[in-house]
Amino acid sequence: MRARGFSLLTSMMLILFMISFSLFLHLRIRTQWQMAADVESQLYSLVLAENGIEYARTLLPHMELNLLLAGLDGTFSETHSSEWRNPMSFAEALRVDPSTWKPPHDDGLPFYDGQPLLPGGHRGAGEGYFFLKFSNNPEESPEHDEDHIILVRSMGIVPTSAQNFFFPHLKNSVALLEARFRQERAFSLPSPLTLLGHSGSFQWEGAHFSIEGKETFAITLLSISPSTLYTDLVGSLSGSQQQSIRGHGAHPSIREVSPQDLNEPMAQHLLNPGFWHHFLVQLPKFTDNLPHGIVFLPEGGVFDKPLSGILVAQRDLILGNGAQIRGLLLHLGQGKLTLREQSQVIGGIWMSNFGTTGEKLKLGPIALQVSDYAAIRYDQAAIGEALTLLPPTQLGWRILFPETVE
Amino acid sequence: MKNKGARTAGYSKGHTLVETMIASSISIIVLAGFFSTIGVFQTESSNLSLLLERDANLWLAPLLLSRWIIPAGNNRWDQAWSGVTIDTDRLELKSDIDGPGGFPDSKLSSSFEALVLRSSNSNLRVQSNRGSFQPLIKNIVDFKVDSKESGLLSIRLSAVTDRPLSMFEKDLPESTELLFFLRNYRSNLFPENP
Repeated sequence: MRARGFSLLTSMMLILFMISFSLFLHLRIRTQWQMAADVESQLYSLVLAENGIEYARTLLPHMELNLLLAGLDGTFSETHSSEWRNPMSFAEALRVDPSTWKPPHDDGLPFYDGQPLLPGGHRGAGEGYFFLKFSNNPEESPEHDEDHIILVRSMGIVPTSAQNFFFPHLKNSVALLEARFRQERAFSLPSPLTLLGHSGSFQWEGAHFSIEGKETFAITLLSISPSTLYTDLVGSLSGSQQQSIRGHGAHPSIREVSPQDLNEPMAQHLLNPGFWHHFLVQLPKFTDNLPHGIVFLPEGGVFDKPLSGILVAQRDLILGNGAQIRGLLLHLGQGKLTLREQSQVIGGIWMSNFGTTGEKLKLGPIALQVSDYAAIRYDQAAIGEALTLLPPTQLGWRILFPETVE
Repeated sequence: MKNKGARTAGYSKGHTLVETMIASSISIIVLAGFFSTIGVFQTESSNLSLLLERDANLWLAPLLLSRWIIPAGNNRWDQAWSGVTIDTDRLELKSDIDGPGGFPDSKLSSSFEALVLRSSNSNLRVQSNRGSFQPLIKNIVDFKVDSKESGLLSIRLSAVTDRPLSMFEKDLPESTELLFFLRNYRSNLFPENP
């Protein structure tokens, strides 16, 4: 009888030991697995946040910043929280279920055609989400932008997959990135034809060509130093040809202004040789040969096909009869721009001739030949569409942590 | 009967002695086998532990370095400094991460805004601002930095074990190459500070 009791006790102790040992092994393995999974999900949340920044980069050229800051309802409502620039606070992000979370208001949330673009964040592969929020740069008031600079914060959240009785403390993996972007609006031309040079050689063929400014002047001459551009231009036009340059109720519709008088503050960049030098060096990386895009012709030549976008050319450029450009034409440096009979530019043309090295602007002569029946028509919408092809300039990129975020 | 009892007792004693000797021999053999097995196991465990420590240090490097390297050059448009300066075995990183208001303040005064990384005495060492070099990750004997193309930083790390492994007589170095895409050095079509 005693032997039986001893065996039972021994068996129970053995079973208890085995259970305890199994439980210990299970917890140990689970902890190690969880640590490895945490590293992976933290990296994934960083990747998701990075995706959000890239998404914002593609959206930004299409957004009107002051509308974006106010959100869909058109009213700017909050700067109360210290983390108001974040899609949500860090503390909330660590606990929230990202699949059901909705933003409390629409300030700084992108929308299009009356609909929010990311109403509940964007779900990536797996269980992760990223959330975006735009806010004005701290140098300006939160609700109104003038310098075209904006901050975007992207929060990547990967929900924990093992939160249970044994791991009640587990939190979501969260990464928060901030990028500082500047929308590029320097090419918001004031006229269908905008010229910068110290003199000009103009050839007008016939009187059926058209430079149409509608509400604005047809030709704007930027004046920054003693220049004969205005007299050269007016002197080259016959009486009937002057009637072909229309806009703002004037014939010929020509104005000479200083750059400071232009409405767009970023237009001042166009007078900086360093701006053009950087632009021309980087431009080949951003161009393509599609009917819709940015085309760069550093050696000029004949362009004879439709294009919706931006054409940048140097040296002698001829727009053939098949050239139908909707957007912007930038003709830079020495060389002549020739518009053949059936060529048409809907949007605007910028012509300038100055060196792109050194700090001081040294103007040179420009040369333009316009054939009979060629047309240049001002269209702000076409210029606006072309400007959406210009990637925003990234001024900063940083990772934010709970201890530094504000 | 007496004689029989004496014979039986003598036989028992001899039997017990033989048994004890056999048991002792077996015990010695078993114990020797046990301890030699334990010894081999312990040697292997020690080797594995050294290798694990070496690899753990090597794997820790990307996690720590990425936090500092990726934002390098932040806010450089507002200051005249280079965010990344490369010497073959030394890397200097500058990044205006934040200031008193939580935003970049155009000063490189906060912690980790100006860093120097280098390897010496089998340690990867880091210097923050004007502080002294502090050990960051041990067992790192080689630290080579290169920039293969603009915006891409290549770092080659070699780690060794704390001491030569038993039966190997070598440190068994392990190397890895990390590529960091510097987010603040991606090409912009327009100048950052026109």
